[in-house]
Amino acid sequence: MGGVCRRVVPPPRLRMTAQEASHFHNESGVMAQDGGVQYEPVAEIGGGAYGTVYKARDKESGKFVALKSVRVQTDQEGLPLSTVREVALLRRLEQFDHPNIVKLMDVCASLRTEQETKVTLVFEHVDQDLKTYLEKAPPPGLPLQHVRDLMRQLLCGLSFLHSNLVLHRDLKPENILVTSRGQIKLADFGLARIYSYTMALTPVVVTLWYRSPEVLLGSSYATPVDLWSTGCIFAEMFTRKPLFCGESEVDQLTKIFSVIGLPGEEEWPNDVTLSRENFSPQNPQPITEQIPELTNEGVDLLMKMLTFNPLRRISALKALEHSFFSDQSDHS
Amino acid sequence: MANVDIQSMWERHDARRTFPLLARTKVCRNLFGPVDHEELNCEMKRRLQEISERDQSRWNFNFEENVPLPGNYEWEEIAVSTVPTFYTESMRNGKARTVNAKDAESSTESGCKNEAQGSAEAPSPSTEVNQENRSGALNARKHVTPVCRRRKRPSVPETLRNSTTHITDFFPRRKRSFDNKSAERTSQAGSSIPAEVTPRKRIRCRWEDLGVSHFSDHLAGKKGRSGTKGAKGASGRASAIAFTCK
Repeated sequence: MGGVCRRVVPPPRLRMTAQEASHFHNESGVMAQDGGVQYEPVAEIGGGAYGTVYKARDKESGKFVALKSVRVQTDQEGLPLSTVREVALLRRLEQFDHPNIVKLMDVCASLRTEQETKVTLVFEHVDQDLKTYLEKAPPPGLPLQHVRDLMRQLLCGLSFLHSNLVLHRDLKPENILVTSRGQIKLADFGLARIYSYTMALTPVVVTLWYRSPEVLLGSSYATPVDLWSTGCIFAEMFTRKPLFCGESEVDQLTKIFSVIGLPGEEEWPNDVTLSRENFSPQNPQPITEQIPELTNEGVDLLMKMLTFNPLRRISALKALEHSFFSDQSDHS
Repeated sequence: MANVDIQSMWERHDARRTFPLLARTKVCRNLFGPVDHEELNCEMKRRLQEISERDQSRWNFNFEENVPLPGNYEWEEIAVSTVPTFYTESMRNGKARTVNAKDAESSTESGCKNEAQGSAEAPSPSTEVNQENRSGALNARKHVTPVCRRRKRPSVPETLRNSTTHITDFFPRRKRSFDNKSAERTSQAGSSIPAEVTPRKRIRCRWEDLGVSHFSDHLAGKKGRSGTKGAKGASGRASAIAFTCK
């Protein structure tokens, strides 16, 4: 995948303790971001070929599946309960067969060693993710009509997750699959998603670009985090480059405030360590400066997603009802 | 001799942990006679083997060795650069505690709120929270920990609770453990596994427990403490078993 960096890790059997791992991939993003750390492709870790993925074609149906394996470190208690629960949740969600959720066909566990269980998730195979899709889009980018369609599907999938009490929490173009027929499929949530935070061996640098202010500030959060990410992705669908490319939490917040303006004192969460005074006062800038092709309806929807206060941010369900989706006047 | 004692202590410790909700008492009651751990262990291994074999033949893929086998699926090994990043292998550390809070966070939002109200009396052992990643810990404060704590109550809060217990603290908890136990029995009777009165071995309890925890925590979190989940808990369990032994 273009632009995907891999962290240089010590050779084989790199096994981290829980503490190390959580430190290493602390959700707060304490770890160094892109700057300063050298990345290069990782060859092989443990027994499995790390650089490859298994994909198969079902001879009967002609459909493709791909394996995502997850190594779960275990102690004398076996597979962690949380993992087992997540598997159950994923399978439960699967029963709804939602068109905008990547299809999970099976979950197979195999004991590797006493300390490690390999959980293999058999997913439907989708050729590309939104990141590649946008990279491949010919200039001047996706037509409005197309963005509208993708956004509707994205929100549809998200609304489904939220109504099942699942937060995605790491929504980004890499986690949104796009089929050859332009169908959106959300991936990497639940069982798969959890790893993007706790895993020690992710080849991908954790990005802050789609994180909501409350997550960056370390405040409490809920479903609105995904709507923030959706807003960022919405903008990116037009510009084909990330809206806020911060290199640290503070940098990310600074970039956010330079567009949406510094929120008022009364909006600032009181359970956070980072105070509002750390940021210089700014007024909101019109988003059309960055995305000139956005219609008025689009601007309205985007700004409702990029609302600082998570309680006032639009929900996935409400977003689907937004007039942006009913406005068919343009056919650019 | 000493070795044997330590060993059996460990085993007992383990056995107790298989009932997360009963793991709090210092006294370990032996209600069903001694357990032949050796035998159970073998049985578990055998069953796991069976499940693996079924997986293997279904997908004509050896998941253990990571090698394709001949069959209905035409496997090919492709470079990660040609597939979405999502499919690449990942790793997770196995400390349930580290992920528990997130897990709950991610899935039981509204459920959590109810839980929080219902269990405000629960002590908040700071040691546990500190094991979380930063945002987990911060969130824990709001409405997340109550759910998690229920499950991961280890020995730490024990002492805390002893000093701050109110009689009312026990009501919801006892209710829950009762529910769970009765549900457990239902499932044992309902499953195809031969009726055996010894406490279930770790792994099986896990898989079975999955049904209950899944239903009560994730999907019907609201009734977690209401004590009315008997029937549904059992049906959730049934589906969990079906999936395990599909």
